[in-house]
Amino acid sequence: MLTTRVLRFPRKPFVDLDYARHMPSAYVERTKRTVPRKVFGDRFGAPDIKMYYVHPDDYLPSHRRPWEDKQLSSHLQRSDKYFSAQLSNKYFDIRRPKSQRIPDTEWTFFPGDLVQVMVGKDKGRQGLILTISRDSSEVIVDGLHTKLGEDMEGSEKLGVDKTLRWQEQPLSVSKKQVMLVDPNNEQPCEARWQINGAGDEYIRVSTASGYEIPIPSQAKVTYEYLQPENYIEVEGKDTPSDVVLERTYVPKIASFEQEIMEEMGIKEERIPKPTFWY
Amino acid sequence: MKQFFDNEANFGKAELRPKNRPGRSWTEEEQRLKSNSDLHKLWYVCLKERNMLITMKKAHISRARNMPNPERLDRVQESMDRIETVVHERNDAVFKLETGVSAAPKKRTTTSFAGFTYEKQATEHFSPPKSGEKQYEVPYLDDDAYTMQKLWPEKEFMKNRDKIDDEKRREARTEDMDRFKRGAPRVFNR
Amino acid sequence: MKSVLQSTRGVRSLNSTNFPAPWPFVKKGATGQRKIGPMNYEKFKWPGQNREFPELSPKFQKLNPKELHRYTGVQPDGYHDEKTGEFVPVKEMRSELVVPNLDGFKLRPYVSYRTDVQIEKRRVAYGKKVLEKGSERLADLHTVEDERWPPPKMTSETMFELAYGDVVRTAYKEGKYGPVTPKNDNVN
Repeated sequence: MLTTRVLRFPRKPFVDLDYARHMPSAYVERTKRTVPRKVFGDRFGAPDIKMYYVHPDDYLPSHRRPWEDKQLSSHLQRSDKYFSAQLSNKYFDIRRPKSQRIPDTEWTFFPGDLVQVMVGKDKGRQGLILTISRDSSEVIVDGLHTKLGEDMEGSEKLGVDKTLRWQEQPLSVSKKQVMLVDPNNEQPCEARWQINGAGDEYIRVSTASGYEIPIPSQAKVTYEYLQPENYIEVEGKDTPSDVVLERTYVPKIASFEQEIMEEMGIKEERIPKPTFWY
Repeated sequence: MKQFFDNEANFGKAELRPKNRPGRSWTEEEQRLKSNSDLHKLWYVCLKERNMLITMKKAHISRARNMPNPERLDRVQESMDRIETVVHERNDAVFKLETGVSAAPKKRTTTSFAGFTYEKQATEHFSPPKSGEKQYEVPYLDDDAYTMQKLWPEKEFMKNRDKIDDEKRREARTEDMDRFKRGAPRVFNR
Repeated sequence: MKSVLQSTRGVRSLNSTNFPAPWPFVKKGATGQRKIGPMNYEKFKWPGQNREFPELSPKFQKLNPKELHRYTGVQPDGYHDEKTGEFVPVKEMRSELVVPNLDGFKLRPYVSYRTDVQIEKRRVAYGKKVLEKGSERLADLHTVEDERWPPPKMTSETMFELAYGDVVRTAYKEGKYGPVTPKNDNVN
């Protein structure tokens, strides 16, 4: 018997902690408009020409979710501009993202973390992270770094009084506008991922003191549920877990079609004539 | 008929209530546990769901609304794609064992008039190929194809070189240069 | 442009805003010919400027190939007879949908997120088993098939093992493939 020794490193579950982790990627790409408008294929061996709504390199990430109304309309506008510029052969300045995306394995900020704001009018104050945006490497801190803005834009046109509200503005992580708070001395610090003493899990530790900064439970919240255990199943739409994980497959030397025919009682006596593939 | 429509509680909503918001798509691992007849039925369950969603999408669009949670369509599509891969995987195993041929569609390597040699899906015919009908891989190219094959990489190389140049120029640009440019005389009607 | 400051003294100053040109000074592009005067760009008036396939462009006026005239992307259910010039439907070419009876079928189009919790449990248990036994293959022998996660892919080797493995093994032991050599035989 072949006994290959497997070296098992602990998994890195923190890389998929994300509010939008269960969103289908095709949907996200479509709302970002970074999908091809048309693919000119079948070019006799030459690579396909792809005409994008907005080229993926030209996508400008924002701290908002791409499927939010506001963001979606801005994406649509941008793709229209992009397209008309392409057609009329005009120069269209490619907007580069302002900062490089931080790799998933080095990202250490999660919703619910205590952080300190390092810039602006709230410099030095500490607060909890409300949301994070991995695309633009920005976080929004609850009640800090705010700006007085209109609650609903264009409300005066609809005959409603204008209401002003303090709106939190995004703070960049890559520019170090926010830093995590060290639980040891309550000072701003940087953090990294490290294998724990038992060697079976990654923990987040402060680089300055080596103290562990535990991941808040709010980090596991997604668009669909607060905790997967407490997810509300929809009657008639969701398959319960015991039915999903029940094994019904019995391997047989028969193709899918043969098995279905046998099950449905379809008889087929005709023998197909040989065909030629070329 | 009713199966073509969503739950009435979901009509005209901007976003579904968590109570009515369905879960995630089926993964390949889960589908590997299911028998062939289950997968066959699951395909039709997904198809019905997709039909329902497309109906609701049309209905919302005709009333100038946005459909609530359009990602449901992608979820169903994902599960259906995965059913196809799992069924293919099983068929492939059986076919390779019993006939030695994969269940994937047959491929041919052909050389086009432009000199590109590439894999292409073969088509089924009732009669054997007449002369000149079957496409082959050609080791020696004629003059036009040869020139094309020489010029193609050259063009790709130059495109790449220009791209790198642009990138370098952009990196070298400073804030001061931008500011100086902004101060330049304006022109009307540009 | 037209906001000229009215002097209180009734005297017009020599400020340039008091002497506007009858037409704006226009410079076309950063470099090139400089033209002064009203400009009328005729080319902006052509129709179909911002369309993907402008009708006026000769590029799109060619007729499509004949095969694409009635192209719908649907599999043909017959063939075109060239002698009679008629379309002959063939029963065998028509595709039939095999629709199962869905009564009492338990699976639904979506999966509950509570499944993820169960899956995580299985994955952790299997990972521990692998660490304990030293290899995935040994761990497979000591776990129930239903408790493995992720479940293995179906390959032709697995299929062979399941369908013919025992037959071949017994035949080998009985010596049907030649005499069995007594070396340290670790093959199970």
